[in-house]
Parts: sequence; C-alpha cells; structure tokens
Amino acid sequence: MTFYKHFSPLLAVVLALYSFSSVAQSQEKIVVVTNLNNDVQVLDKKGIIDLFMGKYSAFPNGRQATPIDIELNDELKGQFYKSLVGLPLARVNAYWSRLKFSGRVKPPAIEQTMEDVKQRLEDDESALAYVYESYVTDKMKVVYRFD
Amino acid sequence: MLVVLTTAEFFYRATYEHEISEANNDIQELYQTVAATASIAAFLEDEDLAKEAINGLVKSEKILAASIKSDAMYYQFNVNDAISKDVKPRVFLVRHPFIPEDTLAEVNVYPNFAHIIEQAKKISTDNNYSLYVEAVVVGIVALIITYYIIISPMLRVGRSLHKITPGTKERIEMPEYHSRSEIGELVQDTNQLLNKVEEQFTQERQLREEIEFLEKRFRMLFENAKSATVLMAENGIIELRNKAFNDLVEKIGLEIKQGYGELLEELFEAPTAMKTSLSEAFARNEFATGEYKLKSEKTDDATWVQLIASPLVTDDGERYYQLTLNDISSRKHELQKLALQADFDALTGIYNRNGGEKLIAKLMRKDHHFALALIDLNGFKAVNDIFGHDAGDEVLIFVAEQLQEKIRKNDVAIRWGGDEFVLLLQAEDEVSVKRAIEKVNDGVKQPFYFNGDPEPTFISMSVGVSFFPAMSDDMNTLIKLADIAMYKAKQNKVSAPNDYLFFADSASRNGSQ
Repeated sequence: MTFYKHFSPLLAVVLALYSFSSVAQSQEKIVVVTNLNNDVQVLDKKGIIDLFMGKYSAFPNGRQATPIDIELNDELKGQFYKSLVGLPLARVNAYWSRLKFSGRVKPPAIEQTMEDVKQRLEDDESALAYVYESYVTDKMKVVYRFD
Repeated sequence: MLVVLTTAEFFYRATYEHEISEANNDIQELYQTVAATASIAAFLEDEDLAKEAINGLVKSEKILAASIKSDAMYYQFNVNDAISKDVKPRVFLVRHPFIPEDTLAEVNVYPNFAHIIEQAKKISTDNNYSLYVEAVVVGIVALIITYYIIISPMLRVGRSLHKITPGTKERIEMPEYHSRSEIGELVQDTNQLLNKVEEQFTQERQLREEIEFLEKRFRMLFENAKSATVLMAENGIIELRNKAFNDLVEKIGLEIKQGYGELLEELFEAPTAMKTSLSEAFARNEFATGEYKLKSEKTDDATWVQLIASPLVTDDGERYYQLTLNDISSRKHELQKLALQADFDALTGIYNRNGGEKLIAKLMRKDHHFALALIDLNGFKAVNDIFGHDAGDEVLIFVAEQLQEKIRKNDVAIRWGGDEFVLLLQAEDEVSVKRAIEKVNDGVKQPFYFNGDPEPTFISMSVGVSFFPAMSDDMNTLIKLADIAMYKAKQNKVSAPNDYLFFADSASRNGSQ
C-alpha cells in the first residue's frame, strides 16, 4: 500500500503526458511533396513505394526522381515508412543493407534536418520528400496525403 | 522373424509417408527462407536476386528443380529434367514485399522424390537394422531370462524328480525365487504327491510285513504240524502239503509224487471202504472222519491214521479237499499192548485167567487135545499172613518161574487167580501128565529163602487134572472136573503129601453135570 501511495500520482502524470503526445503526433499528418516546378501533379501510394523502395528512379512522366530521407528525425521517418510500407525502420534499413551489395538499386538520398529537406526541395526539381503537413511551404507541391 | 519382417515393411511404409510429408514441410520451410528474396526480386524485377532465390532452393537435395516467373522475368533451374521425370511442382505465390495483397510472381518447386525415397529407404533400413538388432538382443535376453528363470529351474526340478525313488524321504528342492511362482506350486504339489506316495508305501509295507508275519506263522503252523495235512484238488493233485505228510508217505515206503489218486486212495490198504465212507459224509455236507490202515510196503508195522476230510469250495467255485491224516499207529500199538495186558498177569508175566480162557477156547476150536491141570498152592496163605503180601508176591513169582521153567515148550502156564495156577499140557494119558507134573512139583518143592531169613520156607501144591476132549468139550466142565480132583488131592496135603495129584474121573464128571 505504501508503494502505491508514493507512486500512483507519478504514474498518472506519466500516462497523461504520453497520451497527450500521441494525440499530438497522430494529429500531425504527413504529406509527400515535390519541387513546385515539378510536372508531376499527384502520385499514388504504389508509385511512392516504387520510388522510395528503389524499383524506379524516375517519375511516371519519365523525369528523374530523387527520393529524400531525413537523417535526424527518426520520428517522422519512422511514421512515414510505417504508413507507406507497414514496416518499422529497422526492417526498412535491413531491406536496404541487403540490396546495397548488388549496387544496381539506390536507396533515397539523405538530408540531415527538416531545414535541409526544405532547402533540397526548393533547389532540386527531381526531389521527392515527406514532411509534416504543417511544414508545407508555398514552394512545395503536395503530391500525396496519408489518410 | 515374420513379425520382424512385417514390422520392417510397415516401418518402411510409415517412414516413406513420413519422409514425403517431412519433405513437403521442408520444401515449405526452404521456400520460406528464400521467400523474402524472391519477393524483393519480383518487386525490383531483379534477375540476380531471383537467381539467388532459385539457386538457394535447388541447393537442397530435397529439391530437384525450381523456377520463378513474373510478368517481367523468368528464371528456372533444372525444370526440364523435372518435367521429363513427370514430377509435379509445388506452386508458391510471391507476394509484394510491401503490399502483401498483391501477387507479383509464382515460384514452382519440384521435389526430389528419388532422393526422398532413397532417404526413406535409408532411414527405414537403418530402422530395420536397429529393429533386427533389437529383436536379436531382445530375443537373446528373453532366452537367457527364460532359461534362467523358467527352463533351468524346470530342468533341475525334472532331474531331481527323475532321481527320486517314490516312497522314500527324498523331495524336490525348491528352486530359488520360485516359492511363489507356478514352478514353485508345481514343486509343492509334486512334493505333496510324493508325501502321499510315501505314506501309502509305508502303509503298504507295514501291511505287507504284517501279512508276511502272519503267513510265516501260518506256514510254521502248517509245516511243523505233526498231523500230515494236504490241500487237494478234486482231480487228486495235491496243491499244498506239509512235511508231516511227506514223512508219512516215506514211512509207508511210497515215493513222494504229485498225487495219490482220488482222495489219496493209493495210500490206503482198503481205499474202497474209505472212499465210500467219505462220499457219504460229503453227501451230507459234513466233514468225514475215520480210522484207516495204510498200505505198508516197507515196514511190518501197520500204520494207522485218523483221517479227517473236509470239502472246501473257493470263491471261484472250485472244489478242494483238506485231508488231515493223524498217525495213530502208536495208539493202536498201545491198545494192542493194553489188550496184551488183559491176557497176562502183571505180577508173574504168565497168562492170566482171561488169557488162559482165550487160549483154551482157541485150542478147543482148533481141536488140539490137551490135559488141564489145576494147581493150588499149600502154605501160601500162611506165608502171606506171616511175611506179608510182598513175600506172597515173591512166592507167586517163584512158582510161576518154576512152572515156566519145568514145563515143555508146547505147554502153557496160567495164573488162574490168587494162588491157583493152570497148566495146559499137551498130553492125552495120565502117565505123561504125571511125568510132567512131577517135574514141576520138584521145582516148586525146593526150599525157599526170603531175604535175610535163614529158615527155609516150603511150598507144596495140590493138582487136579482133566482131559480134553476125552472128558468134556466144555471149558467150564473141564475146569470143574479138575477142581474136584484137586480138592480131593487137597485132602491129602498133610496126611499124604506125595499123593498130591488126582485125575478127574468120569463118575465125578457125570456127578458134576
């Protein structure tokens, strides 16, 4: 009984914080964006998978596509792959490490921070990246929204 | 062995089925190992990856051939061989690695049935070998156990039973650890049986000893009986005889043989009389008894027997006779001796009156002529009175001796009673009688000394004589005549002692009649 008297308030706080953050996260939607000048107007989920998982390196219109991974935001990256292919990051990394030996299939290009991703999207017309919906600027074009 | 072979075949079948199913499982598992690679290869349409997956599959001996086929690519290994062997493939659908609902390609896997069968055979052969070895080992162990637990004790029990003589104290030893087993029960039952047998043997032996004892006694009784006894069949064959019988047969000088005719007739002097008597008794259903004289081939002495004969009928209806012959010869002799005693005087040994009368009767019957001299002693009464009866007896003996001595061979001296004697003289005339009597008188007249007495005693006699048949052919008359004559002589005993002899005359004879 002494144990619960001490720890139950603390436990309640922790639980409250956790539920708040998860609610905040689930509300934070992810969208797939391109350079504003890119011809591609919209992509389907399968098309995004084909590009991010290395099957194709060009958009359906034949122009080169450069998928971008974010290095320093595992939360975003994890949420993206979970939503896209239903796999945790560890599995996705394993997938790539397996394919690297063949050399024919390239993994997405890497940017460090959200800022870097934003900069790349502005600079590179072939860039294709995932960002939080709230992060979309008028220099980006949303081609896919996760439900 | 049949069981082992059947079991082996069954094992082979089971192993084969098991191996096929194992192989199918293995193929499933093998495919699972390359499924991811195949999936990625199909997604990326990457032939190298596809090769890697297919080659990974066919590396296994269980897989003969494999192929992967999608819209964009096709790769196979050894499929033609598999098709030529008419092997049916197992088909696996290759899913999209990220969108599992989508099917990107198809992998065909051809199981290596030859290998599977070989494997199954190898396993079942190994199984069979171990089965055979196990069977042999189990068999040997079972044999050894059976031998030590069952056969060996049984053999030991059997051997000891074989050695045991029924009726003795010997018993089968209980095999170790078998006191409660069936073998133990068998041993116990057998020992109980042996106990019973011994008991019965003992009883039987006791009974036999008792019977032998009795038989010995009876035999002794029979053998040593003084009476000759035989058991005889109806046809005269002697079944049983004792020593006394043989002795009797030998005594009468016959040889010992099997039989002596019907009812021993050959032994008897007058068998017909004997047989008639016996038959009559048997007809009345009685035992017969009688005294019979036996034949006398050897001895002059007659052998007399008392015969007791009883018919016996056995349980089987056979007829036997038991004949007992008591030797009564000696009794007969005794009787004869008794008869002799009746004829002679016990004191003097000469004929007594009874014997004398018989003799006279006999002489008369045979018509022998003789003179009858009746003698009466004088002075005897005085001797008796003075010296006693013993002295009197001595006188009588002395006189009798003198009479015997002095008469002729064919004459007879008889003590007629008291101090009266009779001489039967073979003489027909007075002269010869006188001569004979004088001789006798000389003897009797001699002085007689009693023991220790120096004075002699003199005995004299008076004699009356009658003649047969000249005077009478009747004994009493003859005696009477002699008595009268003697009485006359007695008158002279003092006055004329030398005129002591008188002859009866016809006149007095007539007068007496």
